[in-house]
Amino acid sequence: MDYLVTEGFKEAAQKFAEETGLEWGAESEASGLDERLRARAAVQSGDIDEAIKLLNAFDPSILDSQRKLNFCLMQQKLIELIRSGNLEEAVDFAARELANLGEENPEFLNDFERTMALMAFENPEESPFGDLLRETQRQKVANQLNGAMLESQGMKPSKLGNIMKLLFWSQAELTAASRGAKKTVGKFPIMTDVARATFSDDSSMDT
Amino acid sequence: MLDDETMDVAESDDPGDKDLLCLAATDVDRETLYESVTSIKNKAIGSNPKKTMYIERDIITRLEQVLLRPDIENRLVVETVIALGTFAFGNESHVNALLERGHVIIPLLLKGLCDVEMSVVGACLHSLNAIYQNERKGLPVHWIYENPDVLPTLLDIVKRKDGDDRHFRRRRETFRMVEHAVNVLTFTCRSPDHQVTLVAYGIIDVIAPLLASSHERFQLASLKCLASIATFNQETSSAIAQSFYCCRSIHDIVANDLLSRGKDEMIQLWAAKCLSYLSRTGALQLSEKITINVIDTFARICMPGHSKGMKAEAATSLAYFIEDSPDLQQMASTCQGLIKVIAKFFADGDVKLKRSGFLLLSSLATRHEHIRRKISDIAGLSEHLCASLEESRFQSQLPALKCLLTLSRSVKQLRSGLKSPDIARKVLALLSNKDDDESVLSLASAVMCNFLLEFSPSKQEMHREGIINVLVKLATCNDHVDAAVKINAIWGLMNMSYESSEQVRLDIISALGVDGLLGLLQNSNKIVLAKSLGLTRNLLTDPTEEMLSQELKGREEDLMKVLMLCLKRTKMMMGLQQQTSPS
Repeated sequence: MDYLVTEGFKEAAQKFAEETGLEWGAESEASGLDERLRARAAVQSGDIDEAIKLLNAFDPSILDSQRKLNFCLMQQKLIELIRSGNLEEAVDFAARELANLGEENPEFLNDFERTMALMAFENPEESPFGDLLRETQRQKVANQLNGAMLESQGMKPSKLGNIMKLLFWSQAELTAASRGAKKTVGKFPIMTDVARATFSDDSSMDT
Repeated sequence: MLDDETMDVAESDDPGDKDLLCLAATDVDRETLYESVTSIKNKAIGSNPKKTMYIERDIITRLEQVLLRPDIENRLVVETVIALGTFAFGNESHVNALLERGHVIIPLLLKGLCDVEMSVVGACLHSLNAIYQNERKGLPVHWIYENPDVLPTLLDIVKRKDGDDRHFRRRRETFRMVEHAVNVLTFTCRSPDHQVTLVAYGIIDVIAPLLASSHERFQLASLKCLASIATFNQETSSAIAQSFYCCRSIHDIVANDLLSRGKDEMIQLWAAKCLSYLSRTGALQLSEKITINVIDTFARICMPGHSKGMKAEAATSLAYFIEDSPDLQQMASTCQGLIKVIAKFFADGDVKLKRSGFLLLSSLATRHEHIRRKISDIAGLSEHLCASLEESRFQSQLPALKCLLTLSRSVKQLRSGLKSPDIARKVLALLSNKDDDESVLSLASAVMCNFLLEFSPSKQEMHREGIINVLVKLATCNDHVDAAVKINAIWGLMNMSYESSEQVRLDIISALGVDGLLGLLQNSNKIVLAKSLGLTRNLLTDPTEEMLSQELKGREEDLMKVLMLCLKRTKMMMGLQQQTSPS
């Protein structure tokens, strides 16, 4: 339930609650599930201005205090302008908003340059930076937005997500130890299929 | 500036202009005004260029005037207040522009705390939090304490922690309001009077439930509040040490729950800070186990893998915790390979990290020679010290001077790690600059005293560089706010003249003059007198013919008269009499 609510799968959470008898209303409201869903939907449909409005209504301090998210949303807005072919407006927007963010935060310059480079190509989708125009880029920004809204409520990433990260990390560490010069670790079971939770007894296999 | 009388809304293409004109117009309908303010708010949030543009067009005054409109509706109040608050997140010029109208805006926000509409209260708290979380010194806080309704209102909001409202969306807003209210109380607690006032209003009992709650944001906010109340104040620290919640002492909750390794590291850091303040003020005697945990927490957070801000905070806090205790200094020096960890602070190049690194090294080196030796082995330490001494801001110079002061107390360090003349020259440059901050002069003169000791390799170099004239100027100047500057200058001359060559003594007498020396010997400050007598003794020990015939000729009687006066002072301490007795 924690995973479904945190990641914003509202219908799945409702169904899960029905089938298990768990209560979920309080948790979802406390995490701002509806607001997060609307903001994510706005990003995924390319309406960044709407996403910003919803985000500011949810917690007006997020964009002022989280430079990285602010940049990602501005970058996505620039990408949407390029996608729709409004190159003049895109250049104007980049000069007015993104250039300043890049000046204040040099770590964003690389992503800024990649986005601007899209305008140099006739078919930006086929350029080396075409990944910026794919749905995965919108999904990435939507996930960051979701994370920021959760964090503003004092909520952490989903426990299931954390457990999976720990699982993969510990498997990698054990594998490295078992193959190292000193071979400090013997064989151990490895989860080879996460979806089916199947294990292999042979830890010498690549994970 | 927009000219409201000549600009026609229909002709302007810039929607920003239209929004601003709506604010100024008296006949605009409510809905249009609301949309304009919301539009300005959404454009300004997160965008410094937009904030700059709006400020150039006098947005602060316009928003203030919207707030002052009669019969303003609540949703418009919320948007306007949030719009004002966003400028507090901008750069320095944005904050300055907001604070120029602070004498109007802040009282309006404080008045909004008493509104019956929760969204208005929440918006006002949000903006007050944004304004006061600014690290800028000198932000006015007197309205919080002068208005008798403000503190009780803020504390009532904090007490709403559990939320009477069953509507969960409102419960989420209540959580944010509680956190902001605690933060405002924390950020506006700036003096011992504020600390005492907050304790008198019962703040400890109000924030105790937050410490024990399951919400980490509440725990962190309440720890910061506790720390601000306890800092450097024995009275308020004692009040905290004697407070209980649900049959447990507050310090027990902090030490055993919030300091534990399972908690977020920011919470551990602030729990350790609280305990260190309670311990240093003498309000609480920490057990050995808790003391080790506190030191370990600070040392662990100094390690790589943490943000620069956290590392700097941990190092500065640890420096404060151990500075008075040789045992704690010993304990800290062996914790988590601390000295090697601090060495990486200087390689990083971050200014705050360097400052905190010097402060911590200064505390570690206070007493133990073996710790000083380890510190002097830090690669490039001399260069980093020199670089910090050359910086124009005293915030960088002071920590470097403190570190130098504790290191230079060691004979071995003076003759090895600190023997480079560059360091002494940098300290001399600070002493020669009359515009320096008094605290810089005080520390620099104390360091120079050590550099002028008999066995210091820097002594001769400093003589060649003209240290005598510099010290004489400082010793004879009566404008110093900090008496330590004068005392250290005389002490430096005293060290310089101890078993020194004739030339050095002649140079001192020549620069100071007999009148200058007599002036020092008639000073009312006991320590100045003691050091002046010591200087006189050193100068007159085995005086040469040249000294007697040139510098002191005809002044022997004056000198004897003053020395006799010193002897006759009935309330003198034994030490002074010893200094006075002729050698």
